[in-house]
Amino acid sequence: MSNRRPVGLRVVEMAAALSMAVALWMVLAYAPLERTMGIVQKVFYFHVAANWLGMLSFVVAAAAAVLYLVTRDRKWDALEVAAVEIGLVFAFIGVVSGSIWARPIWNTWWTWDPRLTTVTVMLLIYVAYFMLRQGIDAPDRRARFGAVYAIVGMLSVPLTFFSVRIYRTIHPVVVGKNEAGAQGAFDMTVAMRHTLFMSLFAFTVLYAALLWHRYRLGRAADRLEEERLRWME
Amino acid sequence: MYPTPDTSFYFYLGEAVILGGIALYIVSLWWRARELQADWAARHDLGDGKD
Repeated sequence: MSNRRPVGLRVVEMAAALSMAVALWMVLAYAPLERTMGIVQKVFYFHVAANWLGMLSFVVAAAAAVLYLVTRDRKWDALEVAAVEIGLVFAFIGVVSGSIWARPIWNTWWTWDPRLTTVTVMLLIYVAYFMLRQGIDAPDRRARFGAVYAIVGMLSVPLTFFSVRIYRTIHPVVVGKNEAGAQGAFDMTVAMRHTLFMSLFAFTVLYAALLWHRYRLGRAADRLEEERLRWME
Repeated sequence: MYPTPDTSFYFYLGEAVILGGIALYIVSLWWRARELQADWAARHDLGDGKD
């Protein structure tokens, strides 16, 4: 088992580190201070980027799940697991950072608003993915179950995304028209838009690097498990 | 006009959670890779009859 990273992965790692540094600098020094919320508004850039990755990752997991069911190649199962795990990490980071922003702006850490409720349901669905997966010993059956679950679970992603557009909510909308009751909404200046797009770009490159690493880890674990099963036979 | 509120505590807390969370995940990946490597090495030493 080689632990040498391919050149492509090293390039993606460096691009991720560089773009994250630029995005952080833009958040701290380039983006202007929003007048009514103060500096806490700047949490928004990485909060949106983290939630974007969470949702993107669950869609990637569902695509990998479809490919697994079609080909029965375990590499797609490894990609699916990697995507669900990273999606869970970023969706959780998004929820916690949103809660921290909400404390001074909404005057509460948490409220059962439609967006917050749907994102919690989405998180619980994917936490259950790992809990249920671990209960199945046979690798092929586990992969088949995981694939079906990842496809069905993906339905929670559009529900979460559109919840702020369908239901009455206090959660602000980044793209589109805000509800009348939205609290913490603001008009983005050009510099704010640049910072948001740079954050989205940096997080996406970081995602590529993390997904690649986690996929390699999953493949290595699969090989070890196959060898262990052969040895037991 | 109201003065801009000082919300810096929540800003730094939010950034720390985001960047700290990412850093922790990277460490967990590195840790698991290390464990797997050790497991693999141990298994192969056994297979070679070196153990």
